[in-house]
Amino acid sequence: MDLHSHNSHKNLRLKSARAAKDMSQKDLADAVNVARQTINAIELGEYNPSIKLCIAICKTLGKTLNDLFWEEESYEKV
Amino acid sequence: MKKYDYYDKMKSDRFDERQLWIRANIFKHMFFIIAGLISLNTFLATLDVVWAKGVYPNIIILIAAIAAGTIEMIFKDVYFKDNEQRWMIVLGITYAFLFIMNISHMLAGEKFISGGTLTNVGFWMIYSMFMLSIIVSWLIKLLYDKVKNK
Repeated sequence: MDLHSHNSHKNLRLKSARAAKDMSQKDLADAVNVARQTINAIELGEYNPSIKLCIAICKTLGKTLNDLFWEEESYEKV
Repeated sequence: MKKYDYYDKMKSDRFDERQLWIRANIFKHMFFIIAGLISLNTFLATLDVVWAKGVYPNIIILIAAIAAGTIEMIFKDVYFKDNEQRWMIVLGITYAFLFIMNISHMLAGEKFISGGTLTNVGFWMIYSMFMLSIIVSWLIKLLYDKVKNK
């Protein structure tokens, strides 16, 4: 199974969290040391980032993993 | 804004995890291209079809796979990092010059194919065309990005 396969669910929470911080995709990409296209792919749901990258993005945007990356439909307390 | 250094790049300083994954897939494609072309070449050899002599077939197979892989990397934005693109200009001039030289050899009477087999001029023509296809792909991508970013 391809862990990084295409996911049609866009990550709008990431996009709005980034916009709330007045950051462009390039700004966020530079902050977490990835390419702008990678941030774009994550927001479009075309790439599933590693947990390490998820954590880096969350810490940069001041959010938790639940806030940005947990599935909305099946949210459960962990 | 202070750079968050928690996420350090993987072994490569040039590409992030997604880019490395894409590059790995492209290298896989190149492997299958090489395997396919070698199989085809071997099959032709069993039929006594010698389309090129010596090391020419192997070099052409390699360069075909390299060109295909490089073009795929260029279009998927995983070939260059920042300002390395100036090397493409140098390579472009070099291989354009090589291509023009071979055209002039052919116009002077040298043949592309002789006795059903690729000549020296034919080999260098194919080689320079593969390399130029990389340069042309890069130029197309450059223009596309400029238009898209306007």
